[in-house]
Amino acid sequence: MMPEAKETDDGDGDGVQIDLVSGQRMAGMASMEKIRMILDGVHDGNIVILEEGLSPEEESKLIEVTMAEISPDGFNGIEIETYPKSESRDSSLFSRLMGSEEPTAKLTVIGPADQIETLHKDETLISALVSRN
Amino acid sequence: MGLFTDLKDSVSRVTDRLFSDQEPKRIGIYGPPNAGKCLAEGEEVVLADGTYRPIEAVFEDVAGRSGVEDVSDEPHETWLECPHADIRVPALGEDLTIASRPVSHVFRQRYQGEMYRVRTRLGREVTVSPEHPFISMTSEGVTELSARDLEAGTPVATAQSLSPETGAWSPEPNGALSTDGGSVVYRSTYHDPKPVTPVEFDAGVARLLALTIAEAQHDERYVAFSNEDPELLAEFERTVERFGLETTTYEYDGKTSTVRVNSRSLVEYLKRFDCYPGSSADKRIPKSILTADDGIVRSFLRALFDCEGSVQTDGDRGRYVTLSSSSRELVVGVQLLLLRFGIVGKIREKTHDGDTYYEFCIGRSDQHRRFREHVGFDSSEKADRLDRLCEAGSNPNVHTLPIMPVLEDTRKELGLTQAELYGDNKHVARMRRRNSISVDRLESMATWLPQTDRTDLVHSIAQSDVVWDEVVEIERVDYDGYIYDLTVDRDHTFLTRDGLVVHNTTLANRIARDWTGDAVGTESHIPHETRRARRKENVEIERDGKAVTIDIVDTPGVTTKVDYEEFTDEMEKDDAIRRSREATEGVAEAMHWLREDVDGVIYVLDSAEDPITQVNTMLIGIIESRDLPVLIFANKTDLDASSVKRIEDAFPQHETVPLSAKEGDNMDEVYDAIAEYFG
Repeated sequence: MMPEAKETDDGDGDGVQIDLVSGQRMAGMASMEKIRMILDGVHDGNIVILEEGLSPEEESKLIEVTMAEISPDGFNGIEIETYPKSESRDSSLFSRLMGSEEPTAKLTVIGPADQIETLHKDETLISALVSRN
Repeated sequence: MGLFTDLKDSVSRVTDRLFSDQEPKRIGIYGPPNAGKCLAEGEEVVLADGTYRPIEAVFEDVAGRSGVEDVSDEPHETWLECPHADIRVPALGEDLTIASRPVSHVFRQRYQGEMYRVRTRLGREVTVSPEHPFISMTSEGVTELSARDLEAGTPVATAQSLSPETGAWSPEPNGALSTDGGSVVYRSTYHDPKPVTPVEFDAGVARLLALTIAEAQHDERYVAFSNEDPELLAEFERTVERFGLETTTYEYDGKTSTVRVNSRSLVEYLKRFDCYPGSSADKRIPKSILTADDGIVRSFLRALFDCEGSVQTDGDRGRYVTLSSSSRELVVGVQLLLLRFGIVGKIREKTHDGDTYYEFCIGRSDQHRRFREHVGFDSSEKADRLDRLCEAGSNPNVHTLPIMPVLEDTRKELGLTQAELYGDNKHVARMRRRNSISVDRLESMATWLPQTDRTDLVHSIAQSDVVWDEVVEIERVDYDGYIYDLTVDRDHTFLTRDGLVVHNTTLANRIARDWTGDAVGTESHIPHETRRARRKENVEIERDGKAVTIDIVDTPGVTTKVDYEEFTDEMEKDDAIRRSREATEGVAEAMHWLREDVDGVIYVLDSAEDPITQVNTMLIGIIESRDLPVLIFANKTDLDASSVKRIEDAFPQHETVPLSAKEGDNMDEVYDAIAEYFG
């Protein structure tokens, strides 16, 4: 299991904080907790990287909650990127044990919409440009 | 065009089927809408009471009411539901007759681009968006054709007769007048104006308005009527006396005599009948006349033609009853009034000594006879000339229609000979070759053909309330501003002031528009244009005798970010903020419904764009995790960059239906797929 890495910017904001959240840490959280953790991080201007991503259900809730938090001249929403889904993963033992709520087990990058821009994405590579606010 | 017709057929049944014995499935359509079918600002539409109004005024009227809901989901569009069925317009039905229908929605869109100014042989004009449909006649029968598909010679439906719902109008209050005992008087602080005796609005007053509009100098202080005809001068004097006023007559050697009345009170009183002073180019038919009963209209027209009309009996220059004015609005208003008697004329623009004027021409003998019967002249000289015109044989109706293939099919099916169907064999070969049959011939055919399903077209053309005018000129004009449209219940058509029949923006069009959506998602070039989602219930789609009733949840394009600043090019900041808030609510709602409340999904993708976007991948994942049936529509197959295969490869586990909503391509398969998947 990849350890959680946290690079803190406790100075005057000339850096970008990246939170790498492990699958293990996520496994112990309820859906709304995960969404809260992601959005709180993004609100602070952080880039949140999830080792194992979210379930479809959680992704849909993330969009719904994001929409509710968008405000003029404040929060514009999120940019989210994962690798395109591939069919073979669907029937892994893990996902069958977990039922329909299985994690997609895909690295997922989430950041503030006004700070992150996806440059390239294919099945094996996500390339993103992060700018300071 | 088949698209809109088909959709109209399937969707318009919603109104007939408000209740269904089975619980319909609820299908979500995902994908943002676009495109528009609109009239330019300033175009006027005919209302059921006989008047006309600029289309933007109709829109503003609805927008100004309280509790009006905007049901559009695009930031640069407003689509308002009319709360009461109180705005009514004449609409052309499928049987080609005109009846009054309520306006259910008004529509406004910000538009920058090309518009089409269309002119017809009868001098009708209208400026519309490229997609705006006219009612036309093609080898397949009555068809809607959008402006971009028109060419010179294309038939377009124009009103031939109109029966307004009269009597709703009442004289307008005028604050400049005060009541003094039984009379009314102009409020003045400087002098003591003479009061006028109120007079009932009758045929005599209507004629006074006509004389004033036709040949009087009319300003804020006086009305001075000049004419060669002593009878008309005497009539003017007599009518003014009914108001308790005196006139002064000015007679000069070798000049036209004038009867003048100096009265502020009278000028103000005439304003109550919507008759205002103005230059000759500003003249128009007062609302009191447009909404009056046929008897009053007849008196008005007769007086107007007595003054301004003329009869040309000279065969070389044509045989016409004409009326000229420097005001196009007046001439068009006269045409509108004459429609009550089924009289159609041509509007011609002419120049004389550098001035532009408009001539209204009634050209055919049957129309001359109708004019004599319903309007006529008091002037004996004009009446005599009209008699001579009417003696002439009917010149043929030059309007022809390209419907020979339909007629030939009918003939073969019914086993009729040419003579049995067309009356004789004359010209039939040529008619076939040119695909052209005169409306006159169709009208006579209707007299001997039995009325059956197969002969319906002939009978409805013969009994129709439209004349088949034809396009003579289409001009493309650059446009930057608001464009407007109406949605009319049931018949989905309305008339421009000139009498042209145009199709409206319908629910069916809206659904078609939604299907024309761009690929959903953050990479869309259009600023993400989402607003609140809508539901349409009990939409019935019928395929091969199998009826599927579905509720359509028409959702905005899903995204993960909304920035109001992307809208500020289109609108004020406050509006942009309001719109973006609605967009976020719409997306949140769409997500919620997707998890809780839909039974199937139609996912619309732009086949010219890369389908592998984060939002598409996520949404398909969400839909799959809910085990919902999903149909993917690969739209915009008309574009060169379109690749249906790219979509099929991206989502091989789902059925992909290629289509071009814009061109109406492959719509049969679309309906088949909907019926099969969601039935």
